[in-house]
Amino acid sequence: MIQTDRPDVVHVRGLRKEFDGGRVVALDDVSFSVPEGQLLVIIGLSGSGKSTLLRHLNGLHQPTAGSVEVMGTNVVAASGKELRHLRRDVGFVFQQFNIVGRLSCIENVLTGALGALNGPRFGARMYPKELRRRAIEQLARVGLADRAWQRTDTLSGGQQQRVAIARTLMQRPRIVLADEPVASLDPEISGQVMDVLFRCCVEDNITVLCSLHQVDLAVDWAHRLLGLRDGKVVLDSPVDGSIDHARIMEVYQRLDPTGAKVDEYVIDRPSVRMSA
Amino acid sequence: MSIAADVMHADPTRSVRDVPLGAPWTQRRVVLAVIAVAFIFGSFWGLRRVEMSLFALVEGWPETLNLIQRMWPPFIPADDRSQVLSLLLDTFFMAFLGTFIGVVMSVPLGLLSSRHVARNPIVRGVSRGIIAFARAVPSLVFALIFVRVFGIGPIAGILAIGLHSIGFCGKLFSAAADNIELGPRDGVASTGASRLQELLAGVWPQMIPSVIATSLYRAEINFREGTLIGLVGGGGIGLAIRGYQGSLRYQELLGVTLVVIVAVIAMELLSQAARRTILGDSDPFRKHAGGTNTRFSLTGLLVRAFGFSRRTRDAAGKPDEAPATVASQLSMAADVPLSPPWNRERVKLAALSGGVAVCTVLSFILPDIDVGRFVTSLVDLPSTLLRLVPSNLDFWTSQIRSGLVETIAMGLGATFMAMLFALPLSFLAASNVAPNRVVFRVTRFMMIIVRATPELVLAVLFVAALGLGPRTGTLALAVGIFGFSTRLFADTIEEARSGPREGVISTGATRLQDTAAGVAPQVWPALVSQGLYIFDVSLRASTVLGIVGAGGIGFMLSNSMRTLNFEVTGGIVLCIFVIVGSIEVISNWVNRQIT
Repeated sequence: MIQTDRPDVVHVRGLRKEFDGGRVVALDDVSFSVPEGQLLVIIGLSGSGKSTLLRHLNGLHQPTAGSVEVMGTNVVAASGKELRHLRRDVGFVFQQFNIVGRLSCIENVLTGALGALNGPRFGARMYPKELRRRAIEQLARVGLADRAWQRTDTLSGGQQQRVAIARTLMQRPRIVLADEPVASLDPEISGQVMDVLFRCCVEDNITVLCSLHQVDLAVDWAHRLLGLRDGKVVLDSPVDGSIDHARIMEVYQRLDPTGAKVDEYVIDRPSVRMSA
Repeated sequence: MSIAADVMHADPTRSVRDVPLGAPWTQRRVVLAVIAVAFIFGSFWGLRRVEMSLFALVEGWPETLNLIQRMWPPFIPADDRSQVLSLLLDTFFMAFLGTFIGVVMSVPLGLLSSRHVARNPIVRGVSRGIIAFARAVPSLVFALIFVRVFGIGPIAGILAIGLHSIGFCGKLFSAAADNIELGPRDGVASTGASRLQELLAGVWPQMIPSVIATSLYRAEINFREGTLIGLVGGGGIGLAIRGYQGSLRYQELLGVTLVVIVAVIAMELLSQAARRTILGDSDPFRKHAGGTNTRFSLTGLLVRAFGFSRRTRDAAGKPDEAPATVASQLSMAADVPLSPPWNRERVKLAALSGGVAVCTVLSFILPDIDVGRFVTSLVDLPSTLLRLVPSNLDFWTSQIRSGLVETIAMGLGATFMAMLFALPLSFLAASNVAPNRVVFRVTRFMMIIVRATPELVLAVLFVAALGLGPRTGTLALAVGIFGFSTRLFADTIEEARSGPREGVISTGATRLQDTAAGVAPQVWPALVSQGLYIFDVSLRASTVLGIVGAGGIGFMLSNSMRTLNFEVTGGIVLCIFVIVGSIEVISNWVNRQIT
């Protein structure tokens, strides 16, 4: 199912990121490319570098070494203006939704159109009717058209994340970066939200790079898995019948100082949900 | 680390006897001790400086009784009644327009002094400086200057109130911008929005409740201050107070004072009701009794905005229905209106905007605002302001120095006296500690009355009874600050959580023991912060008491204005700014140490 005939939209070569002046290495020689339309899921433990990697792709982080190219833009060398332009084509879905709770759903979705407009806007009526219509359509796609004028903070977590997805779709992005989009939701709702996210992206032919904790969700949807451990790529495999479950689980293992493998390290960490 | 591990790793050679029986002197404890000692010594010095003593108070009692006899019964002659009413209306519109101007100027200043909005530290520094200056200089001092420029009448009052409001509103708006959640802002930024779009779509919506609440709250304070502006000729009911005081008509003076008290309380209730209706739970000035203990930073009041609990709605608690089918949603989408529906929220906001619009129009019609004169005077404003800038240090005379020292002494002495009574009483005015409802209600009611009487009105009355001088001013200030601090303290005490108290009570503690061991430890850091804030308020108030002859630098200030000695006025204003500013820096530092 991996579409190798499509052109690549993301190129990462030799990416290295250090924090605290080199004391912490978050990413170590990460290289990969993503063809257009691919659904790539990045898996790994907390702190393995998933978020850091995604944040490099829209210029929220600057690499210590290496190159990042997204849709022909060299993200590392891009100016503030070029980055803003790039961000219009690259949607971001956050773990904490990052919507404005006091605003209605439609107002939140409309902010997705800001990049295409000139000047600041406040309130739905400052946006053209055409855009408002489109915003309602996006809300309908995520199943929330009837909530359009409701305050977003009166919705449940899963619904709030769907509003955030609608805002991203409103941007008409070519790439969506999703950073643990369902980590604050319970398993059943997580499935629904991932369903909405991936379905809409497939419909619009959007390339998705999504970090996830839940291996089962990843296997359900992804075209390809990228496993990170301690900032290094330890798995890069298409998801098809041949994928070896044991290989996926290896991503979640860690070497303890004695050299013996500590299995199921994640089990006693309540923040990490694993049902695989 | 688990308890077992703790026990395992404990040093077996260290015996129980080595643990000291007294608390160690941590930095925090040292700071607090130094402040307590410095405050007590400073207060005693201050009280001596203004020649306040128990003896003096007892001695003054017959004269006070005498004055009360001359004042009773309060009365306003029928001929003056319509005049008083119209001055009261003037006061209202003056406070309204002043607040309006202040808020409009505070929004950009507040935003520019927030680290989340202005990245340039120089921009932040300049706007913070303007806000700090506006806060340090009392509205009455601004009014004194503006009366020279715009003549006697409400315009001077409106501008003075507006300018001074920037200090309060700008500071709170900036705090609101500093306290926003960054996530939603980043969410907007991630769509490729420009900085300005990000500000309006991601930052501003989060600030709205605080901006509305602060503005309404400031309107309430401004009405209270507006009643005094007339004392220096700036329009409003203060003109009547000044008139009756000047002609020694004491019954009328008391009558107007009672009118002022009733009007101030009415405005307070109005502002509270408006805040409750419009904001409900998201009113940052709302008392949250039994809630989490708020950290009090610079000021007790400010922190109501700083510390208001960020309501992250419990997502897990709500049922999450499965997304409806795409087909049904798309058919539904056609029915969704393209304009916001008239829901409760929109109706409320529309009502508020409508009210503001009506008041704005009325305030240009009703009070005696001479727009022509205003415009012509506006041309003179820059030159007058320039004349205020001292060209040399000639204003720095021994007279000014002793006036400033006296002001500080009055502020310290009054704070001390107020606290002496406010601390114990505030426990009776806190619903969770008061022995019964009757005591609670009676104390609260008394505090409302005392608090509604502006310090300067008290000073006018006290001067009539006890004569001119700093002792009178200190006494008036102490009474005024006392009402204010009791309310502030009581509100804080009510925020003590009940859990720890249940723990104390369950050990068999008495009521008083519970207060001492269950309540006091929870609230005292906040009380210390508020004590510093109260000192700050009392110091600023003591700078203007001299205008009615109650001691301090205010006398020289109004004198210099009367004799058109602009440079001296400017010099004094500068000194006030420096003194109040340094107190603010000190209390910020102390707050950081104790929290």
